[in-house]
Amino acid sequence: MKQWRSLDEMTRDEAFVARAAQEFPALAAALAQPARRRTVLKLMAASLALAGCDPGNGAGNLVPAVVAPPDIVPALPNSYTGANLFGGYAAGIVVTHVMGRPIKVEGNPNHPASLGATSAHGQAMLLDFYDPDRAFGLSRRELPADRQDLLAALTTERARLGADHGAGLRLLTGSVTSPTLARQIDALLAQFPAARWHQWEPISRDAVRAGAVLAYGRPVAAIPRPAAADVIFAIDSDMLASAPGHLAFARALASRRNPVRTAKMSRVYAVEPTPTLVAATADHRFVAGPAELHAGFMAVAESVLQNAAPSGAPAWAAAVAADLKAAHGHALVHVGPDQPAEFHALAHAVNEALGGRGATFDLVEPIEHAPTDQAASLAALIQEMAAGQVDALVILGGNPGFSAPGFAEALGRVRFSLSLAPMPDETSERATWSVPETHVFETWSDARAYDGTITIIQPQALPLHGGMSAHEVLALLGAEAQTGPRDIVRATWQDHADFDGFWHDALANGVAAGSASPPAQVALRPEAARLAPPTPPSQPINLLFRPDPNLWDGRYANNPWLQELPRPLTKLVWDNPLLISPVSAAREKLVNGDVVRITVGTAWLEAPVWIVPGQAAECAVGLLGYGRRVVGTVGTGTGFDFFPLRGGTAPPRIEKTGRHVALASTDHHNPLDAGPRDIVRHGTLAAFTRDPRFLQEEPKVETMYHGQPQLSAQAWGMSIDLNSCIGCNACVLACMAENNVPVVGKAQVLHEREMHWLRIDRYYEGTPEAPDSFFQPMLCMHCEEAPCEVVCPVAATVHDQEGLNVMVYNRCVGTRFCSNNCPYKVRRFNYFAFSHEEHRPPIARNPDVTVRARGVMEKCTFCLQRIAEARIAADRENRPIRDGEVVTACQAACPTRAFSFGNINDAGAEVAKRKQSPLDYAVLAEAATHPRVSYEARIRNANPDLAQNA
Amino acid sequence: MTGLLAAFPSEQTLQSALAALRKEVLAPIETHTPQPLEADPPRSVLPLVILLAGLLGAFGTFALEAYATTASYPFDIGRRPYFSWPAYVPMAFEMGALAAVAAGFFGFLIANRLPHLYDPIDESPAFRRASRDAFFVAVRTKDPQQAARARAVLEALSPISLEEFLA
Amino acid sequence: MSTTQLPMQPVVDPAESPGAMTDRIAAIVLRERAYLWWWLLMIPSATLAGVMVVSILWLFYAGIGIWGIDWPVVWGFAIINYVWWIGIASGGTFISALFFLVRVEWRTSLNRLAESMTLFAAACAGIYPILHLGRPWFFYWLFPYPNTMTLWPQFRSPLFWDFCAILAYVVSSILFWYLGAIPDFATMRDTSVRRRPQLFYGVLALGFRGSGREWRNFRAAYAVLAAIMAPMVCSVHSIVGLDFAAAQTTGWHSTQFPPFFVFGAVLSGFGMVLFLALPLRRLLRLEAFITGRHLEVLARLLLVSSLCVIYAYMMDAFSTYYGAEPAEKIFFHERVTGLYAGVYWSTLLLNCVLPQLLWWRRLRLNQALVWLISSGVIVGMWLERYGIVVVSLHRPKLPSAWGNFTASIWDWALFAGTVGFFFAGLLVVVRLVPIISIFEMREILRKRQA
Repeated sequence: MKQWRSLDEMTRDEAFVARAAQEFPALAAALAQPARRRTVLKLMAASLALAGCDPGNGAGNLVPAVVAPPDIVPALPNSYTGANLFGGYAAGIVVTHVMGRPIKVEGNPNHPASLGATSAHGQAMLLDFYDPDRAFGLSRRELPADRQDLLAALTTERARLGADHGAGLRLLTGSVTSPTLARQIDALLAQFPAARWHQWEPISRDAVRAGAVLAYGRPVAAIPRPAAADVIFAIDSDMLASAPGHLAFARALASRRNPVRTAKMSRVYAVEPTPTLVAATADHRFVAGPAELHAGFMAVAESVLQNAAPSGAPAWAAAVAADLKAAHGHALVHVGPDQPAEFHALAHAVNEALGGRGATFDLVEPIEHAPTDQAASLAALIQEMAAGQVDALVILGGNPGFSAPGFAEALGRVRFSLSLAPMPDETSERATWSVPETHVFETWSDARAYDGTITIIQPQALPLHGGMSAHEVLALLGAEAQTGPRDIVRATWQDHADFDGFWHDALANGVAAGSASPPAQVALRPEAARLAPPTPPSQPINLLFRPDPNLWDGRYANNPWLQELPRPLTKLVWDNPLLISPVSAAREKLVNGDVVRITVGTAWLEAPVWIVPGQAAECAVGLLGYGRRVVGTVGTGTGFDFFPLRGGTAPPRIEKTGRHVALASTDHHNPLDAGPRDIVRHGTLAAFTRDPRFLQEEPKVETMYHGQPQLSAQAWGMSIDLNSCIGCNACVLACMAENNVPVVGKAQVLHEREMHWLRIDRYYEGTPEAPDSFFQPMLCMHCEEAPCEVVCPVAATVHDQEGLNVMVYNRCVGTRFCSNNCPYKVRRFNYFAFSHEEHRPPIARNPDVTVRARGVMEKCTFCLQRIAEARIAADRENRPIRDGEVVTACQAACPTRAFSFGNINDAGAEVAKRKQSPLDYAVLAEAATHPRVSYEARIRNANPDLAQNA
Repeated sequence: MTGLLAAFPSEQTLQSALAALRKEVLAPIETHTPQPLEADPPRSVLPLVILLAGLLGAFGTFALEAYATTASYPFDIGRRPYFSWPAYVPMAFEMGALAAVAAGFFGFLIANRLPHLYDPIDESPAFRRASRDAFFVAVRTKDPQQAARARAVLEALSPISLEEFLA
Repeated sequence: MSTTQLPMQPVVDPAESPGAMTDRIAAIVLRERAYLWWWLLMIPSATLAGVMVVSILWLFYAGIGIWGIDWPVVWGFAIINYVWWIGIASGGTFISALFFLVRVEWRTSLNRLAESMTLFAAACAGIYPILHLGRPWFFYWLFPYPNTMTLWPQFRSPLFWDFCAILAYVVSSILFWYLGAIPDFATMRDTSVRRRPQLFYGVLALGFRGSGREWRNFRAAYAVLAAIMAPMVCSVHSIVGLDFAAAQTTGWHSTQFPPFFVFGAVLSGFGMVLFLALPLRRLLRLEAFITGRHLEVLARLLLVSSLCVIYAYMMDAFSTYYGAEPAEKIFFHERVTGLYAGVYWSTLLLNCVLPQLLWWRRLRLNQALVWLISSGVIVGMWLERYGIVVVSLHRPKLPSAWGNFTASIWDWALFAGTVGFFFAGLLVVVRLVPIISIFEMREILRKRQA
């Protein structure tokens, strides 16, 4: 057929018109008529409407649900189990769907690593799933390709590699806990015996693994049991923040922190160079740079192991050691992954000596498949790549091109490379093949929890943008029998007795019953107790590296929720300045936002600084994960990349540049200006024992109001336990996800217009060098005598019969007087149409919650939609709402059960019981607002021997 | 009907003209002066109208507020009693004052039958001084005898000007 | 402006004749061409008024996020400027209504100017509460009208009282001003010789012909309206004070706010009258009507209201330290020493210290100095409101919600725009309306001659 330039030209082609007339008689008739404007418009409209009927899914063989599946009832949510994978480890989740689309992540109560709670990352995975930047197809050398091309390429590679038993083939993964992935890797290595498999997580747990090997001779996993510990000594610990199982550890630790509900309150000591969540909850916190930490820990270890009196050690060491020894059998030492392997080994020895095995900690068979020294593994790979010994490299997840300096350059020397990544990144940019990776919501897989428990992961939705999982890539590469992800995973578990029952139960419960790792029968190597960790070099400034609490190794850089989630202590968002101590800030005359030049050997970086109270004087901390170069629109231009500085061994130097940049923090004042005062009430256990009600001085408030409106018997209220709150932020994100709370971006946060309905206030008390820190979740107090309601001229905020302070968005004209009159400042105003400008498709929103328009005030509703759902269910069954039937989003996510919500008029309800606690108090009670949210004051179990903090 | 319009240089001369006219003439007499007459006390029904309007505005507003918050659509607002009377007072006062001012202004217009943009008296060339510095007296009558008598009285007082107009 | 001392003069020269005086005042308005200075002032004022229009259009398009307001400081320039303008407005009503009731003669040559100033200041004030809303197109929801949801406004809200007070005040000010001007419009109608002014003023005069009945009703209505306006202006500013005092916010929750706001309003109102009268008497050659005695009286009033404001500031500090509320103390300390301490100390300097110069009679009669002091008071009262709104809000009770405020370019643009609108409006009035109440001057003249 000849070429044509326009339809007009084509219709003048006689041959074409004749053929068309034969094929489409109606078209011929239409073409015969002169084209009229109305007809053209009609046809255009019709074709547009028809185009909308295209189901548009990648698979092509699916039929749109004209008749809904039987288990989907409009407006009623469905739930399916799944898992959130973090560093390879699973935490069980339950995903709530409405009309077939996932809208909320909850914890899975059956799962040992969740116990019903989620982390902030678990909540945020929803936005990763819906991220519009994910939509990218396969590409080969940055040119579009399709799946057939990849199949052909992999077939060619397989034949080519098979020729010399895969000698040039390398496989790079993160830590692998998935039995299916492990099976596939083993099979591939059997198929290509000369191939090699490398593992690498940018945020390393090598020291933990190596420490176990040093202590016990082979890799085993130590699982702390903080619930059983009377005394806990945490050394730079990540136990509450990011360690595998941290949600469970947090629950266990919190169970011993409120003296009202525990028979014996535990005592927690923390020592560390830069503040962690454990330290924020600890009874005693010691700020120690590397040298002091080394000396102190060695003194404690010697005191416990050799019964030697500490000498030349920090003052606290003796008291800690004495306390640990006194709590024999109920003491626990926990070391964070950033400390050397010898520390871990010594900690194992100390824990064994303290008789904690089986009580305060357990040893189980390793969770990861073939644990190895990942740093060495990657170094070897880069070396081979640079030397041209790697012919084909398959990268299954992870972004070493960003997080491993030198990797991207070496990748250029590999003939065939394949990067499986959720969206284009620094690695896939350099790889010959870039394959979109399916989200964990879109594929079948399996994974182990911190204790080895297995979860079978089922897809929550069809892949939104196509893509493949690691299982599929390996199956294609190895020409496995099964290529569908479901079949691949089923194949792993096929030989299970009663497979169908197992499969069904595993999917329904979210855990495979009895799959936890068996206890490891190992004995402590005697030489472990005599290990001498290397003394840290004495240098004026120690540059430490920690993962950013939200972006982790950079993989969440395109997640706006995590970008705008205030970091627990600094409250920073959208940025990762160099964290410096108040001492060095005073010495160098630096203020927050001053740009410094950090030099390590030949690598350097210019980044602003942020002063962190309670950071060791000689330490500066770079948070990894920011400064992504190839990333979606959200992460572009945020933060600074500290990875290139990490490899250096030279002493770091920090120089002022004289420049200054604005850093966005949701804490808009100098944090040490204002202590917790009466707002976060706190005291010591000794004082509590003398008089449990010692913090309950309520101001006498007179009322002028008589004949108030009557409330119903159902009265919603909340109690928040400040002893439990660890500041982990899971509740904040859960609230954002549940209530469609918009993200506003760095510029608007700088303008103090963040929208979080629930925030975690952080207060400091004491000196900037070593302050005590306090967390306080702050949300709408639902005051009985709500000051906001009285001042609204249009009755847009009113009280309902059950005592909720409800906000009627439709009615709001935006005078903002309510916010002025709110003593707690929990109201947020839509200065712009924030919800319309979000990086998020509308289908990702919770359909039960109104999306707020510009010019409207909004605030916490106690998850009114959840109350309504429970009320409807109760009404249908003609019964009152049961205690525990309504769980707010924050309450559901909280790993430590700090929130308690329910009917305060029901004496049997948990919240009513908690409000009877002698520690119960209301914030700003003198304002006579009679808040429905009350707090349990924080009690600290101070060691009388350490008078400084008592 | 004819009218007579006489101008006098001061209020005293006007008053004596008025006295003479009232004695001699049985016809409506009206003054037009550049400022209020001193001898003429401001007797008017308007203060009473304004008072009533103000009270009606204030109590009506109060009643409206009470009705709205207790009967029409009671809301629990910060647990304040439905009948929160102290809060009603400011609006009641303001609306009462507004009603009073409006009544005063519009009452003034109605009482004087304003706007009244044209009147035959405007045709008299001298009348333009009525808002400047001359004190006028206008006599309107159908009776030619009365008119003649008025003209005689006015002429005797030697006004600044004396004009006839069609009334 | 010269710095010469003004001789003390009577309110009006007894040698003046009513006719000549009427002609002189009317001639200012009836000039065919405007003065050059009028154009020189009008062009920038009208330009700024154009800036106001642009700022409002952009505000409606983009939303109030274009302003500097934020999370703790949710009220900013809109409220500051609203209170400032309404305060200025109240000064005019005070002179016009209150001093009418107490029968002071000097008020007569100032009341038209003062009332016209009130009119435009109240107009500037009146637009702010609407623009201030997040959804300004729904401002009428504040009014009790029968809507489809059978909802009422929330009558307990001070903002609602404020809405009513502003509505009542603006409408009443217009009516009061117009009623008082009707006899003068009649004068203008009769004095003008050209057709267009005759028609224009003829319509405005509504057919007022100075008949006995008209004057009787006029005097009765005007006196009663003045008697209403005087308490109303106090109530309006008290209610503005209640906008703050009825809230629980730190720095606002004070029973002295209603009178305090009235004092401040009066101070800025007198300041603005002086600020306008001093140059206008020269430009319009009104020296014979606005005399040294007027300026001396106004300067004394400025001093008295400054003393009232000093009392309020002292009470503010006293009650903070006498009270038991720690948040108030922290806030006050912040106000005096913190980021915005300059605002507080400038307020004290301009509103309290400088007006003390007016204790000396020699200084009271120095036009340049008095003009500078009144300008200072106008600025000082704006700063006082900045302190009340921004400085109070930036230190709420919970330290976690502390924040700061920086005005944006659009805050300033709208503010400058209203200033332009105010002056442009006044200039139009000066051009079209006799700026001195002619008929009342005639009455005074008669009394003087009697």
